[in-house]
Formats: sequence, structure tokens, C-alpha cells
Amino acid sequence: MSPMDTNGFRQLVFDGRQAALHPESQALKISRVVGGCLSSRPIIFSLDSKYFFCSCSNKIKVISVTTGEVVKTIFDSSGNCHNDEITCMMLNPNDPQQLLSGSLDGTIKVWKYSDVELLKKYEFGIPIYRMVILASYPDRFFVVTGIPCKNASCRGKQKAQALLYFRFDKKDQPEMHLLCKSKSMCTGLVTSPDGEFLIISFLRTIRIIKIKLNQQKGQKWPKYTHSSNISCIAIHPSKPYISIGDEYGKITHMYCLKESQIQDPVKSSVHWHPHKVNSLAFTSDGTYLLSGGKESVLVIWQIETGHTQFLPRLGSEIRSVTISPDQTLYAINLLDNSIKILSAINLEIKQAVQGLKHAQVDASIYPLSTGLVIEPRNHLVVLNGLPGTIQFYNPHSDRHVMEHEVSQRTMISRAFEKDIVYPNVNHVSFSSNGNWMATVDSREDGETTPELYLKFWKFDPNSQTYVLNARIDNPHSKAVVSLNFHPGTNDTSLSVVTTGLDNKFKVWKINSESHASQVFKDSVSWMCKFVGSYRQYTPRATAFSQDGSILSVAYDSIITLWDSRSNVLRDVLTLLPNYEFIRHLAFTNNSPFLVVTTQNFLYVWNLLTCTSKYQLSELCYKLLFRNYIST
Amino acid sequence: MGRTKNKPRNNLNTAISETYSTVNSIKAESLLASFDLPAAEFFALVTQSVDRHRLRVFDTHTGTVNNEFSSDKEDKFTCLTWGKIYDGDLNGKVDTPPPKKKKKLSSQIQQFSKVIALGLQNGSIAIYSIAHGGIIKTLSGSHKLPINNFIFSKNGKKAYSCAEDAYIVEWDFEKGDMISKWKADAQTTKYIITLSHDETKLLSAGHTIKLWDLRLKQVLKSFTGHVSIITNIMFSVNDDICVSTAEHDRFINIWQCKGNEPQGVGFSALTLDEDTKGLSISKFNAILAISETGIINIFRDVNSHSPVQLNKKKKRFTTQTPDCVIKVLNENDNTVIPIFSACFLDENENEKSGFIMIARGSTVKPIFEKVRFIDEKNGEFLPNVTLVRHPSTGFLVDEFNLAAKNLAATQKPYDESKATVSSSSNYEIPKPPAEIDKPTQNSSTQNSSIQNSLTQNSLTQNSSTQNSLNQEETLETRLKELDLMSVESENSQKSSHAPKFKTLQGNSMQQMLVQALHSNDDHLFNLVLEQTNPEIVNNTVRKLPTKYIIPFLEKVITRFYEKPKSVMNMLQWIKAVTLIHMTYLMTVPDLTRKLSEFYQALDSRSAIFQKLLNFQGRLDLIMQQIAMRKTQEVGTTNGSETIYVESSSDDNISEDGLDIMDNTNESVSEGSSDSDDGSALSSDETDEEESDDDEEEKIVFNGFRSKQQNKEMEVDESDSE
Repeated sequence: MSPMDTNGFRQLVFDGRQAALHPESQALKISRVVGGCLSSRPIIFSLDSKYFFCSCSNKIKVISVTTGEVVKTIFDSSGNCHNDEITCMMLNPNDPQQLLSGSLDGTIKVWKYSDVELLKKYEFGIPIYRMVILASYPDRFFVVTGIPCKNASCRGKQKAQALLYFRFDKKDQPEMHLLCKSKSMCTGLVTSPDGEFLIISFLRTIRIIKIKLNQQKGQKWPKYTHSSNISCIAIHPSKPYISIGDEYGKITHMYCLKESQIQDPVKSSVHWHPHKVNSLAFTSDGTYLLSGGKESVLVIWQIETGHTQFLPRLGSEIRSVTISPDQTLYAINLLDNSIKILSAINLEIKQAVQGLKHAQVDASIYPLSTGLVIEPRNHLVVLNGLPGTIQFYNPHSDRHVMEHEVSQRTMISRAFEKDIVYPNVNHVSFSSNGNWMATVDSREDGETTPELYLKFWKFDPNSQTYVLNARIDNPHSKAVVSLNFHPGTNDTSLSVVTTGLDNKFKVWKINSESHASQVFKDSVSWMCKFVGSYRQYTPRATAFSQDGSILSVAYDSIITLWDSRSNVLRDVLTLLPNYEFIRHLAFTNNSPFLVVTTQNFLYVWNLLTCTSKYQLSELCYKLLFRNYIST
Repeated sequence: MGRTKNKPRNNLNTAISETYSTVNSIKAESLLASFDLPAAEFFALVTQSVDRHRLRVFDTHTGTVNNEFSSDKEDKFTCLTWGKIYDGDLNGKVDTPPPKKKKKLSSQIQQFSKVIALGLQNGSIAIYSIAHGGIIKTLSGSHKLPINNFIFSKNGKKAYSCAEDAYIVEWDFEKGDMISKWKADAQTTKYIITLSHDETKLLSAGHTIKLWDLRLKQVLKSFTGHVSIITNIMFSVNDDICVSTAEHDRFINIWQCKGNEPQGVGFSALTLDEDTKGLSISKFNAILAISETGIINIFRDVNSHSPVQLNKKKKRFTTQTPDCVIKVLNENDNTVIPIFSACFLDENENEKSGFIMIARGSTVKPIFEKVRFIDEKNGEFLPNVTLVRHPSTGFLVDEFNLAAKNLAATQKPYDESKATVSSSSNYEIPKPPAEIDKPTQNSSTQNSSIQNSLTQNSLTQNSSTQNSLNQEETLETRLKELDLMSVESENSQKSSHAPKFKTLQGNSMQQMLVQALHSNDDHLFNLVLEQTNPEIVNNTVRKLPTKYIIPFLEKVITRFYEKPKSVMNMLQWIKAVTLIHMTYLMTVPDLTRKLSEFYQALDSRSAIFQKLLNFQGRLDLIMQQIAMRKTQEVGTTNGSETIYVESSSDDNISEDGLDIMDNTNESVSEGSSDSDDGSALSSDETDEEESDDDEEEKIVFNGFRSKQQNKEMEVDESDSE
């Protein structure tokens, strides 16, 4: 499980046969069904440039350039697929119908992608981050390995990586050589087009390895040190230089591949990017260099003249740039989990593939606070998109439906070292017929006044989208904890309940009075009808009963039941071990039960008698779950 | 019976269709249109392009064009069918020779891909893959004339086609070969076919309908009934009936497919007001028909009540009129926006979803909408669904850059222009005023802050004097007062008399209030409610005509909810109303219902001091009633006096001196008559007399305020002191 795609949907797949044979074994397996990171790794074009491959955790998707639809998924449930994330892909230089994929699970697999057939599997036993295979030497691999990091905390931190050379004999037994190693992460691994050089860059250093397979020790290139942190490298297809992008946005051309210039290579540099250059790519004739970075501007350098052409406003930070083999398409991977295919002729967007936008957002700053909300109209899943937006996603067909901006959002790149804080959507809720949507968004950067908005959106049948109806500034004096719609379907008596860290819960209702007034027939506004609190406890979660008559508000370990019509406190239920805070609260559908979960317990309350019916510890819960599945 | 009923509606509809024809001129006619069943995620539409037909596939969620296709040759598409195929048989044995990438899967997974079969003019069938965005397969060689219809079997392995040459061909879809071919009819005409859900029977329909056994290729039944060419035919889910529509026909015929007699019976027909264009049948045998003008008619389960009819009169048709009519009207001129395609959405297996998906507007840029036709609560059909919508605009579509356009369409920018914005101050409960705050109470109550503040509010009202109330006023009201005073001071008045002038406003406030209530003027109403002076409040309320009492009360209560900050003011008004008009309110029959919510709110908020508050309330009521009775007594005596004064002033208006004399007499007598507080007030009286003089002068200045009112004011004031 990689931290990268924690936001992909997962499905619990239960292997019944396995469980029957080995009841103690891990019978539940998680397999990702939809979602995932599409644009984190550079894509690969097929040789005819009509399809491209993009890795999505342990699967590879084959996508048609003309339609943007997934033509097939290279994925096999019979254990032939990778067990971990795919980090690198490349077409077999000897047979372009074959695709090689390297994964963190320590294998490289060779697929015949037209048939989704696994041809060969190489076992390395070490996680693979980058690989290179040369046309003249099959079964020989140059791989970059490192210590895999499992938890999100070490993501982006420096870790030691090394370049290894593998040679597989007839019996598929590897023979291994260490070529070089570094304490920092590998930032690039490229081969020269004639297959003579292998260039690897680490954080500050660049090493050039001349590939002579019979004798490794030829002339040794010195270790070049770059003045700033290297972010990417590229090699010119015909001229003896490499281009280095660094974290300050400078692109340096270093003429170091000619033997005469080894010791003191000539350098020239161009500088346009104000921020880190994320990717560099040369066209095959070597006349143009494409670069992209945080500014979400694609820069096309004409190398000879130094003329630059720009394609701005791509929507998000550019992660990588790929050029199709026939040189007519540029593929750009963006940080918002989308891949855009541009026509090289007029730089217009030819195709766009969009995944779950939140997948590559830094979850520590912008958490997935909305959860997965089902939109009642088309049964789409609604969740956080980019900061300040929500995304409507169709989980059945794994398609992006739309992105909805919840707050004013301008894409500007930072001017200083500190990143700009964007507003974040905290909660989304829909009325049961889908006519209304309520959102809470906030922005707090610690410098300016904290912003907190409750917004009500009405469904506009003409445009088939939600239109902002009312904005309420600072609905609570502190952060909003939950947001819930009353389950009623009558549009004139809708109500919404919010709870906040200011220890209050508020009931908002449609102002029916102005609705009736003659002047503004359509204008419906929302107002606060009731403010409640209970002993200065912090409300955790709220839930309405199915018929909408009871509102239950959970405080730390206390559940209060309110008459939702008159807002009168009806009853108070207390959990027995009261050191655990309530996490979730739900009414059962047609029976008078209230289900409450805490970290380790699950309670079921009978609301007719106000007694706790069940109380299950986690252990019990697991057992019950297992029984439920096996029966 | 049904027909006579329909007559007037018929006329109406013809009128509509005339206006509609003008709309029609700007819209390209859809030649073929079909939703991707059952989820209706895609919509395929064939329209006439310049020299060939053009296929477009829309995503119904976003309304964007996903695929666009027109063949290289000048081909015309004659039919369109959605299908699901999966390639790669279990062993992956077949290597079909399509021009592009072959699609085959590894042994375990069956990845279905959605395809559209397009019948061509030259008798071949092109299979278009929406994933690849191109033709992946062509079936040809068996038909020579244009294809009329094509259907897939459910597993995507077989397919059937029929053409104008009257042959039906069975295809092995994976190999692309013909399995068998047989003649459906002798005539060369347009044929359509449909496959039963168990895939054992097939219906072919030209002029007559024939039911075929697919194994033996024999006719099981034949139906006759339609005069013109049949355009739509469909099986019900359990294959026991089929429904058909024909060209220029406003009947939907229902045929019985079970039984053995070779001559089939049509046992029922559904009537529309106009010719039918489209047809769809749900899992629950509800039938949807689109009429020529683009109105949808839905008939409920046709199967349930028909067998009775069948037994009674075998050959007679029974007719049925639609249970639900759905139409879309233009917002501007109430003309019908045509729905050109629709289908049922059956998302759940066993539950009626009650939704249909419609495509409306122009075929250049159709708009998709989910429409509910079953009432959520009782599960009945909604008899009439009329949607009022904008006419679709923006037909100038850039055809070249679909992806960029789709990208923009799926991006919903933030737009605040139509929103109402309210700030938190309207919703915040004010902090209890500091000067009356009782620290003991504050610390001891573990209750919520609302309860605190509310009870304190009520306490404040009771205990506080007029002065303290004035101190609590917001800056705005203070400014307004200041403003008022400056206006008054222009009239050569000393500032010490400002309270007096306020009392003068008692009358105008009432008028303002009546006016505000009458015209529903919120601003004016708020102005009135801003008054906190108990005298003004009491006077205004007292003079309020009875018919405005209830509306006023309701409005104040709404304000009470809306603006917790001004709760104190509101309460004062509410209290005044209840006190002064108690007798009237008691006679209003449904008052308890009207005020129940307010009452409950009050009750719950003050629950903690229940008894104390009840007692206080009662005491309050009694005290105020006593006070009022006194005022009224005085008022009556006063009234009689003023009649006299008025008559005297009628005689001689210019003589002010006399008036003043009267006035002083009056107040003196008033003081003496009031036995309770006469002695206590005696010192004040003299002051007032002086001020009275001033006031009289002012009245003369103004010239339009009657003295009677002034005197009333005075009396009130002295009383409340």
C-alpha cells in the first residue's frame, strides 16, 4: 500500500475459498478498483502514437489518444500483476509491442500489451525505482534501487539510492554489479540515443557511465557536482551535452560527453522558470527543448536561437513532459492528476484524462475532509478536489464528471519560499432529493483573518449544475465539525444542522417568508433558526433519523437527542466507557436503532426504550463481521 | 369517451405544433438517437452533416461530446444500436483481423467494452468502439440493401440484422461470419427486429409483425393491425407482451406473445394525442412514448389490467390514455421545447426508480436531464410534469477542439453573483449586557449561553429602567436619535425636551407600522421595530388596528428568529402585543397553532427557570393590566375633555392662549382625579406644565398635530412614571 494513492477507492475482495481452508489467514484483500494516481509517473506512448500507457498503482492503463477512454487495463487478478506500485515503464527497444514495467515489489514484467499477456517476469528482490534497458543487450538491466519507505512521513525526504547493473543468465539467475550510489535520491536516469552513455543524476551530483559491457572499467568520467539541487536531466539526441534543470528554475546545458571536454565541460544556461523545473524533454531532432514546472506553463525553447514559446494556464503544476514517437503530440502530466495531450502543431489540447484530483494533493495540508459523499441525483461520489474545489466522480465507470469550485480560486505561483494557503472545503452535504447542496469551506494561513463560509447551492435544472444561493460568513466562531441535511424532501421546510468547535450546533432553515414575497419570487434565503449547546461539550457528529423527527448530536461520549421540529432536548444517552470519543453516528433505516462507533466499540441503542442494545468491542465486531461474511 | 375528452386538447396541441415548427427550423433533425441502456450514461446521436452522416456520443452526466465520428466515405447510417462486447474468448483462440489493435483479454477478466453498431447504406454493419474512437469491425457480405436494424445478443457473441431485402441474418459476432439467413417477408420494405430477453424468440416487423422461433426459424405467430410501416417494436421484460408503434399513427399497440394460436391478438392500445416518435418500456411494463412535438407520455403497467379485457371481448381493442405527461416549456414564451429522446432509468433490480432520462432542446447541443415521474411519497404517477426551462443557446460550437471544450464544461467556476451574503452578526447571540449581568448567575449556570442570555434578556427587560435600555441601543439607533434631535432642535427647541418629542411619535409610529404591514415593506418595518422606548412601543401597539395584530405578531416572531441580536427589542414588542391585545388574541381560534413553534422555542429556552418565569410572567401580566386599566380610565376622562377643547379650537383656531389655559386646567384636574399617585406626582406636574407650554408652541409651529393626541401622550407618560 503506497501512500501515494490513498485516495483511490478500494474494494474489499473476500476470498471465500481461502478463508474456508485457512480461517486464520488473511482472508481479506484490498484491491483498488477505481481512482488512483494517473499522472505521478511519466506516461509512455505506443509506437504508433495512438495509445499511451499510464501507470495507476499496480495496474497499467492503455488509453486511446483520440477518445481519452481506457481501452484496456494491464492487470491480472491471477497473481501475475505487480504487488506494489509500478514506478517505471518502457517499451522494449527490441520489440515495441512489448511493454516493460518495473515495480517496488522487486520485479520487472514484460507484457504483450495488445493481448494483455504476461510474457516474462524478472525477479530482482529489491524495489525498483528506475530502469533502463538497452536495445543491443537484452536481459541486462540498469536499475535504480533504494530503501522503500512505507509511511507518508518520509515521503519527499532524502534517502539513499544506488544504481545497479543486472544480468540474467539462461536460468534467469541474476548477476549483480554496483555501479554507483549516493546518499540522496536519484533525480534522473537517461541513456544517450546511441546507447553509449548512461547518465544518472542525484541531488547534487551527476555521473556518466560509458557502457562497455565487456569491461566496465574504461575511461572514468569524473563526478560532476552541480551548484544547486538538480531536479531533472535530459540528454540531447545528437549533440554531446546534457541539460540539467534545477530547483531554482535554471536550465544548464553541460557539454560533457565529448572526451576532450571531460575535465572541464563548457556550460551554458537559460533561465525562465522562477521555480523548480520538474521535467525536460528534447524533440527527436534536437531543435526544441520542452520544460515545465510549478508555474503550470509549458516552455518550448528553440535551442539554436534561444527563442521561447509559452503555453500558460495549464491548470496545475507540470509533473512531467513526454513527446510522442511521431513528434506530433506532447503529453503533460499535471499535479491535479490529469494528463493532457497537446498537439505539437498548434499547442491545442487534443485530449485530457482526468483522475481523482485529490490523489496528489498534500493530504497533510488539505485533508480529505469531506469524505466520500454520494450525490443523490446521479449517484456520483463527491469529494475534495484541488484545494477549494469539490470533484464529482463516477465510480462505476471510473470517470471524472466535473469539478466544482466552492470558493474563489486563483492559480498563482508563490512569490516567496512559503507556499500559498488555499481555502479548503471541509464538508459537503446534499439534500435527499439533490436540489440543494451545502458546503463549508475555510482558509486559515495564520497571518490573515481566518475565513469560514457556509454556502448553500441550489440545483439549476437549466445548466444542470449547482448555483450558489447563499453564503454565510462565519457560521460558527470556530471550525465547523459537521454538516448534515435534514432527510425531508419538502423543499420549503429543509433544514441543515452544523456543529462547530465553538461548542454550538446550529439549525439553518430556508426562509420561507421571503419565498412568499411577490418581488423576488425565486429568492430563497437561509437563516439560522436555532442555536443549541450542551454543557459546553464539543459536538462531534450529528445524524437525523430517517423520518427526520429526531436530531441526534454526539458530544464527546454523550449522545443528545433533540426533537428536530421544535428543537427541544428530549434525551441524553451516555456511553459506558466514557473515555472514548464518538466517531460516527447513524440511524438504522426502518427500525428505531441508533448505531454509534468509537475507536474500539460499536454501540446500538434502542431509541424506544433508550437502552443500549449491543455493545461490541472491536474484537467482537471483527468476529461478527467475519460471521456475516461467511454465512 | 376518451376521444371526446381529448378533442380540446388536440386543438391545443396543434396550436403548439405550429409554433413549434418555427423552432424546428433552427434545429437539425435527429436521424437516429439512442441512450446507452440501462444506465443511460451515454447518448448516441446521428445527425445529417453536409454530405454524410455524423455520429456523436454524449456523456449524459456532463452533457459533453465524448466521441465524434463520420465515416470517410459518404456513408449514411441507417440504424444505430448500442451493444456490449468483450473480446477474447476464454482461450483467446480467435484472432480476428481488424485493421487496428486487436482487443483480447487474458483468461480471467472479461472487460466489456461499449460499442455502437451502425447500419450502412451499402448493406454492411460497422462496429464503432467508443473507447478506441473508431470502427473496429465491419460485418458485411450478407445484405445488399440498406440495413434496417441490428441487435446484439446479451453476451455479445451473436447478433442479428435485417435489411430492406427482407432477409434476417444471424451473425457470429466474434468471427464476423454469417451463421444463417432467412427471408422474413415477401415485401421489400423497411423492417425492424427485436430480440426477446431470453433470446429464444425474435420479432420482425414490416407491415405485419411476425414472432420467430430462433432455433427452428419458424413463425410462431403473426400480428396484423398497423396500417403503416412499423417504426418501433419492443418486448416486455418477461417477453409475454410486445408493444409497437407505426408511422403516422397515434396508437401504441400491445400484443400478446404467449399462447399457441398462429394469429396473434392485439388486446390493447394506448392512445396519444399525436403521432408517436419514440418508445421505451421499463422493467415494470410502464411504457414511455414521445410524441411528434416532443412531449412524453407514460402509461403505467399495461399488463396488469388487460387480461380481463382480453377474456371478455377477444377482438375489441381497449384504449388507454397516458398516466403521466411530461413536457418542457420555454421559460420565455411557454412554447414546448421538444424532447427528442428519452428512456427509463432502471437502476435497481427490484425497485421502481421513477426516473427517466430525457434529451431535449436542439440536436446541436442537447441537454440531458433526469426527470422524476413517480411521486416520492405515495409511489403514484405524477399526472402532469411540466418543466420550465431556458431555451438552450450557444449553438456555435467549435467542432475542432472537443477535448478542450469538454474540459471547460466540466469545470464549474465559482460565481457569487446570484448569492445572498449574510454575515455572522445576524446569527450571533449577543453577550448579556454587562451592567445588569449578575455574576453569580453567570457562573452557576452550566446551561447554554443562549439560555443564559435569553433569560437575562427577559430579566433585563423587567428590571431595567428606561435609561438602561437606552444605553444598550446600538450605535445606529443612537445616531438616528441624534439625527432626529438635530432636526427637532432646528425648530428652536431645547434638548431637554427630546423625550417629549419622542412621545409625539407614538402616533406616527403606528401609521408607519400599519403602512409597513400593509405594503410588506421590510425596511419600514425594521425602522419601527428599532424603537425601544416602552412608551412608543406601548402606544404603537395599542393603536394598532385589530386586523393587523396577527400579521404583526407573525412578522415580529420571524424577526425574532432571524436576528438574535435584536431579540430584546422583539420581545418587548411581542410582550406589548400580548399584554395589550390579550383579549383579542384569546378570541383568535387557531392562534395556538400559529404560535406553537414560537411558544415551544420560548418554552425550551427558558426551561430551566420554569416556575420562576411562569410566576414572573403572571405577575407581570397582572401588574400591567392594572396599570393599563388605570390609563384607560384616565384616557376616557381625557377624551371627553378633548372633545371640548377641540370644539373650542374649532370655534377659534388662532386663539392659542385659550388652548393653553384649557390645557393647564386639564392636567391639574387630571392630577387630582388620579387618587393613587396624585400627591406623588405633584412636583412633576409643575414641570410638565411648563414644558406643556413649550410644546403647544411647537404645535402651533408645526400646525398639523392635534392637541388631543398630545394630551394623551402626556397622560401616558405621567402614568408610566
